[in-house]
Amino acid sequence: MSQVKTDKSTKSIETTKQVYPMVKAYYAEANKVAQDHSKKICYVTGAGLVDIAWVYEDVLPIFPENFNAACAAKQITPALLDIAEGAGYARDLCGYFRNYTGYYLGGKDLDLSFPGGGLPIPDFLMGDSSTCNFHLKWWRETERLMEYKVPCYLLEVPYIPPRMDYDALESHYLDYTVKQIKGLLEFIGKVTGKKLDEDRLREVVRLSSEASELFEETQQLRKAVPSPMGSEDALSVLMPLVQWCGTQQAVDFYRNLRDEVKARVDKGIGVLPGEEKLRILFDNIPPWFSLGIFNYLQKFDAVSVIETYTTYFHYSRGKLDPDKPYESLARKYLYNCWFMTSVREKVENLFTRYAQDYKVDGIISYALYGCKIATGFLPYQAKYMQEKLGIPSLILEGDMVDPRDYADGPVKNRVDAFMEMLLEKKNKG
Amino acid sequence: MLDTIAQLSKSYSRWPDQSEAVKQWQDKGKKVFGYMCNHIPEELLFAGGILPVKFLGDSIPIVDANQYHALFMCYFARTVVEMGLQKGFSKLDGLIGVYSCEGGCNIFQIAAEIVKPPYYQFISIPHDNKREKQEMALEYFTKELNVIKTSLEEYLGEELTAAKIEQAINVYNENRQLLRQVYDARGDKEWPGFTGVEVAEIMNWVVEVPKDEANAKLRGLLAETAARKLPAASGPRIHVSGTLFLDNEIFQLIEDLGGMVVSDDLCMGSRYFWDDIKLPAEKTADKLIEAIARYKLDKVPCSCMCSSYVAEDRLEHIKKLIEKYQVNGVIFAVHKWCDSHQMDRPFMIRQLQEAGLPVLSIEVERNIGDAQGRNRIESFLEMIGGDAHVAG
Ligand code: SF4
Ligand code: SF4
Repeated sequence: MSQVKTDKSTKSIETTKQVYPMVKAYYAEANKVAQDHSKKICYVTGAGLVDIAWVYEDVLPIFPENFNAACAAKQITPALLDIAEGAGYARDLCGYFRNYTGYYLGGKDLDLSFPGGGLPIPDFLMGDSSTCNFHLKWWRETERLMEYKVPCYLLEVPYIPPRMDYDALESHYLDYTVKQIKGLLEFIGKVTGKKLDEDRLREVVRLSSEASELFEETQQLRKAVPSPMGSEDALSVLMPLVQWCGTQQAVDFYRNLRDEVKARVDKGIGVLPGEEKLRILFDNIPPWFSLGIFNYLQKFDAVSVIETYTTYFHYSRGKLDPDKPYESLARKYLYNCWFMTSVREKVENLFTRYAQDYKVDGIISYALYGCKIATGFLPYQAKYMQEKLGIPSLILEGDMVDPRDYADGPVKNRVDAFMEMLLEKKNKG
Repeated sequence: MLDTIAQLSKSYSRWPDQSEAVKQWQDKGKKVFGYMCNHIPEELLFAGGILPVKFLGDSIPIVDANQYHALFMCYFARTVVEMGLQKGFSKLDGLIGVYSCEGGCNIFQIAAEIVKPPYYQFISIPHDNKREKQEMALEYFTKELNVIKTSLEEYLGEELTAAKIEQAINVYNENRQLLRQVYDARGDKEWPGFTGVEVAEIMNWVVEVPKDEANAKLRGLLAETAARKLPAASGPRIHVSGTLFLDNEIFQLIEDLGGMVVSDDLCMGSRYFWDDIKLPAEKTADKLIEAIARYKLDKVPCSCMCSSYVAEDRLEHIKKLIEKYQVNGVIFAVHKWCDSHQMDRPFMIRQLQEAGLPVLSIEVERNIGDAQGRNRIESFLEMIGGDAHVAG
């Protein structure tokens, strides 16, 4: 199989190095569980609701999305994508879905080095829609793929329309989400044959909140000049939040991370050895097969200082109240990806705020042809940022796991031109 | 095409700013709102004297919209942005959106930012709303529709009373019933009353004009065609599956090539009217709104829905139609970049093929009118024609 030439990234944060062993140990456990059935394996999708899975101690949540991203990092996706497309799935569907489907429709029998040795078969499926409804359709397709033998519960988070202010959510939005959280907990109880332990639920909410707060503190620290942590690290340290939110392990990890980043800020240590000339906001899901693109920016004394993607998986609005576990979780899930799906909210609030707070000189958006919800309005957003704030954007196009159309040379040429333009603009002051 | 249908065509335009029906309605001092997807509670608008007109898109080249929207959204939705930029919605008093599919949700938001309509609302509909989720989804959606009702009342400065809502539901239910009769007439094997092209045109027209007037016209049309003796088509009887098209080209092509479109499950087809709203015993405004909500959630699902068995439920609908209208072959004509429909397609195709039906899958972008699309339809019809002959 042909390798696609892309760059792997190098990191500057020590804590990032803990991620890989954590993931490895985790997959080892998953493989053990797949053999001895000591726990129920559930596939989780969506943003943030993994904490619910951790409420039951004999459940092991697995994120096929991480598996897909890891396949992309190992550059083994093309063979799997080909299989899915051969089975009639359109090439413009979400790359995560195609990779996973290709894996199941025969890819798993190929001689490839799958992350963690491969995906263990699930006992049940759970997911939420806060990123996209496509997730829900993906799990429905999984039900068919598994011949309807694997039970599934989906938590649909209503999309918050422009009429609503987040601090004044209409009660039916909260009620509906709360009902489904209860429904999901009950469903897991049924599958595992265990009763819900409300104390444990509160504990998970407390831990989830703590990890969230520590991560948000780190995000705030990243406003510093020079930038203490770039996207090449930030996108990797997101993994524990996605996978272990609601556990002590995640809290410990993010405490270490916060401490390390804080120490760097206190000492004025930046990502770059020399002067930091440009600060970039990276928008959308990155090309997981080519995270080295962030290191490449260093050629221009530039750092990608903040991302939109790292905004979507935690509750950045303070503490969750463990004594109101259902409402707290509902608020978290409703909030998570709101910025990603609401045009007005994203440009007027998130983008404008980030651009100012993080002193951003330019924006690089990665437009994913498979992901309609997060990507469709990127040109509008670029126009808005240019016209309202004078901040230029570069929109690169591709897929997050499909490197077949990704041409490293032309991408770098476009980055070069963009960075030179930004430098020139900055020099003119 | 029947003269009467050609006449109807003149009363609307794909561009609401050029529509005769819109003009006439506004001349009476009444409001017109634009929408994009079937999940809008049209009855509520109509109860308030607002004419809901559906965005049909148009097979125009896209010039400026690309500055606002990524190229990889379905062509239909992108033409909506283009129309917005070219002032096609300038006469509309409001826009009302709904989160159905992701592309549409995305596009509608952009269109609203461009058009900046005097009235704008966006509805969040539950997509996973069947079986164990049914009751909670209904409760949520009823409340959501009540918010919309209150917002419309504030805008109009008048109450949407139970009597007005019931009246609107009755008009819409009658419309659905009449459209089913049109479909039955088209699907009649001995004496088809309409061609596929004519029905496509009726569907375009019916979503752009007031339903009470449409009902009167439809009754006339049905009476007229009862006496019509179209020669029974001898070619393959085709079911078309998909969403909507930017012109009637595909129907024309199938029929020019000797086939006949006798059935469909399109947004702008049977999925628009197949089910009725079941009126509640107690005709209070609350109960009537709940009935509208229930209808929206229970009707034949669009692929953008995410309930368990959603593709299976839709397949059931297709299979019933296939039997009822004695279909010989199915053409899936799905828009490129249309995630939900592309997602369900492989499963549905497999199932239909296993049931012994020939299936053709073609991709629609602006249209399918290139030589390749035409050739594929032609050979498909020939193949079925041959089979039908052998079998017959
Ligand atoms: S990449 Fe986009 S479409 Fe795919 S799962 Fe994520 S949010 Fe959904
Ligand atoms: S054609 Fe598909 S993608 Fe386009 S608006 Fe309709 S459902 Fe959405």
